[in-house]
Amino acid sequence: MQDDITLQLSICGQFRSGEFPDWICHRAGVLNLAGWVKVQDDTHIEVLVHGNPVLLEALELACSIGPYSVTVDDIEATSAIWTKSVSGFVEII
Amino acid sequence: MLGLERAKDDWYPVAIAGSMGECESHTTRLLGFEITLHGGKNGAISVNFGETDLAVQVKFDHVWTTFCDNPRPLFDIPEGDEPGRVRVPCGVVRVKCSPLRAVENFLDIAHFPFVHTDILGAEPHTEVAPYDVKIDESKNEVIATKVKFFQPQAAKSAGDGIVTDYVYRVAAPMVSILYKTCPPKPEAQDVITLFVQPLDEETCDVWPWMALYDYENSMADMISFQQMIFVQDRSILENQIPRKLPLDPRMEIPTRADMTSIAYRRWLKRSGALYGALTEAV
Amino acid sequence: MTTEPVGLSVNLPSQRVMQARVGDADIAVWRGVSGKLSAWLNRCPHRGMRLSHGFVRGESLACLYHGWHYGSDGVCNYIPAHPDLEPPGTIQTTVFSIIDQDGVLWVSVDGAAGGQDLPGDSKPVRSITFSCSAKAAKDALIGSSVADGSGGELSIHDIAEGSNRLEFKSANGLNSVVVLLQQPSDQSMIAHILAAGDWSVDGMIGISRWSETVRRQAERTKNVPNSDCQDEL
Repeated sequence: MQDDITLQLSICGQFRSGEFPDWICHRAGVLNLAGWVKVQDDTHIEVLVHGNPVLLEALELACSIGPYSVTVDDIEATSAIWTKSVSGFVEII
Repeated sequence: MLGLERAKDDWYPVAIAGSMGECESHTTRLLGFEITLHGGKNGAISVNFGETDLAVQVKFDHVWTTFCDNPRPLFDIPEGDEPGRVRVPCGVVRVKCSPLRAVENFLDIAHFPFVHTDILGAEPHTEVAPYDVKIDESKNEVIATKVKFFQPQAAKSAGDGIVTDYVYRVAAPMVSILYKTCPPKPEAQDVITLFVQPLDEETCDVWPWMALYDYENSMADMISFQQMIFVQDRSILENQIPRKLPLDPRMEIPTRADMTSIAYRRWLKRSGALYGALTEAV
Repeated sequence: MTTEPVGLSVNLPSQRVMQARVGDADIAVWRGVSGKLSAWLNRCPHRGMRLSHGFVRGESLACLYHGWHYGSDGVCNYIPAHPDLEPPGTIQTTVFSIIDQDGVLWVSVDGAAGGQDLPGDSKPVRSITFSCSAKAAKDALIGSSVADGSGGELSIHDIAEGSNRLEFKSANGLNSVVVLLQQPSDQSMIAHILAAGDWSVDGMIGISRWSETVRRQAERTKNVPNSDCQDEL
């Protein structure tokens, strides 16, 4: 069992449908990951996620395709610090 | 229908070259349309759709056809032409699933220990090590490299278990090519392909083809080995719900071991190759 | 949707998996080594494979495709491609309620399963699938009398309109045959048959043969429209 880690995912693409944040929250819930998603604009979403590295990878993989209405061009993952500022996985406005 | 027009621009396999006698004919389906194959002189095969003659070409020992006057060019497999290889068309297997599901399954290694038990995989060797997947923009293909998996009997020519190296290539929405360790010739790679004829969105004919370095086994043995593998896959493909390939993985749980599958779906989505795909989550 | 009978307990020994259908739901029913029963939506959450093709390991059901293991609570407890991962409790199958009551397996897809009462000494005879409409199967059953294999006959006994349960009784009322009907599709019907009272082995064989005869009759009239179809399949 690997130690939990924290990643910041910077997701770029076309997100006009507005479906993506809920979709990411659902996926994070299925994978039992903690963190948040924040929409920067129609082309940029930030995610901070904390949990098992295999499950973090699974979240990143699912986000690389997303719901049909969005187009994901790129995801950049960087190591981050977990501040326990949220419980569960939520969208922050 | 989503993706039909795009799908009509590709070439599809419909027969093994030279497999029909002169004056022989039979009907089959392609993208939901009935087409008729006719055997001509010297093993030539022509294809009709109603009153229209469709374009035909022979490549990789198969007859390929298309509905399009200006189709996307058929891909190449340069390794297939190397001297010394035995080129083996393996016949056809009908599967009640989306043609895209047949390709996706062919790109999957994690099922080997459970579906091809003691042949292509065996417990406890179930771990899928990290590998690389990318969409090659210049060729517009999906490529997975550095794929490694322990296999008890990787090929008809393999003796004991070995760690097999794989490279996967999706050269068209309904074509998958794999290159894998060739047991009798470690510096080379065997080529095994899956050419899929979409009968409709939920039924396909699969035409496996191989170009191998194998001088010991008979053609019949190599074919029956590959057919056995594919019949095992069919038991999975006909029992996946839904029958079409969902592009939204909301109702699935992909992990790193499914990276090639997700890259394939991304590529289909980006290319608008939606024939046989579901765009809504189910 | 009410609770439906999906099989006879005796036909699902431990470590076995079967497929069932309740209304529109495709269901995998299985027993662990201990005999514990589970009924789940017949779809692996990983890649959508029917779990009824899977295999039982201890108290878990493993999917045939990639071997993901799920415990009797439906929670994933092992992913072979990631053997060191302890899967989170959130990866789980859709679990339905199932009970084994008087030798019959009852499943409900909405709420707790509750079986029908059967005569206390009911013994399982068999389940038999009719490849015809529900109406054709039911008509053939109602129109027949059960030969008990030793010269006696049981005749049909009060059937409620629209009921999926038929009961046949001997003249002296001591022996009875209960037929529980389940309709997995609009062109098939499964009859789960039990016998109550004093039955010899020959008698039980007689009931089984009777069911085959009725099936042949029903399938000959299979083109009859399915007018009293219970489910909106």
